[in-house]
Amino acid sequence: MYHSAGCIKHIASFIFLGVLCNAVSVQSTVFMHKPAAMGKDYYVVFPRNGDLVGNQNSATAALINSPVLQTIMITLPGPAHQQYHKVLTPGNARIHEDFGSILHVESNSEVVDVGGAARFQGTSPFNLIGQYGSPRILHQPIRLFPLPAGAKNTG
Amino acid sequence: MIDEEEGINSGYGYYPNVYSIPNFTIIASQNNTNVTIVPTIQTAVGRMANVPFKITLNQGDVYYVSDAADPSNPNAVANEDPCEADFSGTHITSNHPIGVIVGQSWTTVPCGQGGGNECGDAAQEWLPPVCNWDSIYVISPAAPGENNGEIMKIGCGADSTTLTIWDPVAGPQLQGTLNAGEFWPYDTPISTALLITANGPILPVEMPISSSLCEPGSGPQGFNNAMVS
Repeated sequence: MYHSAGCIKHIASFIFLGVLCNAVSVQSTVFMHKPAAMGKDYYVVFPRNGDLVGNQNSATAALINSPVLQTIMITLPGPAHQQYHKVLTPGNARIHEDFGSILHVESNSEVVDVGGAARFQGTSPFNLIGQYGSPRILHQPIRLFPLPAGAKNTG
Repeated sequence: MIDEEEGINSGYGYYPNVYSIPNFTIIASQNNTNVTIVPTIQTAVGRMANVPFKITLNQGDVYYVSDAADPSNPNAVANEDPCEADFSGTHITSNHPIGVIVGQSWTTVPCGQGGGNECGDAAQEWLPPVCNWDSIYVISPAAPGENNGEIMKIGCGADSTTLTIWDPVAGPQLQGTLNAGEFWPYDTPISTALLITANGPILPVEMPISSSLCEPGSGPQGFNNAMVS
């Protein structure tokens, strides 16, 4: 295995995982290298692609899977950084949402898109998959709710 | 979750009669993120290959880079050689964690007319940082009958890296020695499990070979970064 000094926290995670595995089995340890399993904090943006040369559209969507019911804090793209929350209630801990005109698809090379990434934050780990182009996942327009008065995004 | 500190971009194929635009997208997770980029080909606004340039991003900012063939560039120049429409080897470093997405707008595999088909598609993939790359990987073949097999591009993250591929029949086969930013093409469709070892960080990227049938979904839908060792 190779690890550079720049990933100390990852090494710590791997060592911890290794200890757990060794406690229950002598088989080899598997290290997940891709931060794709679950997290509590995601940025979402799409490169310009399908509409550039192909026949795809720029509709955007997201699939959220959460093992627990929770509130997902959504910070919309753009300098204003408006925040909303999405409540995952019984029956929809797994949701798909059509973010058609909300999530950014980058179009100009070498220009900073200020605050161009939407941010999704939860209090418990969840999985988020972004998708755009055709065919996209099922249409279900996003339903966003303003933050309650005095609410604070704690990330 | 964005947790990237540096990465080497990997771009792929090209459909000869349509502009295919290699691109990468950088997302910052903290304010005052200073990013240095060394592209391996000319960018859309004319930044030259192998000349570093710097940008500063704040939290949530996005920076997208395409190549000189981008039609949105009024001075767009189509690449004569389809296999040169490729940001592979581009080096990106930053002082705070960033995320990097890499891709091609119209991918066929193999690149160029060698692909022998018109069935391209967009392909994008998050790029893991070099510090998360490993030196030993097990590569499994695609499920029989699902596609035309997969080929690989093995990126290298350090100088003087010796690369060996272990075939169950032929045994260990030394492929060569690579420097940081270089990649090793493995163009034989993978038909059996392989073990890849090196003395430094490497990133094998599997790419499904394009279908000759232009049906929905026939083009590559993405790249598979080998992530488990």
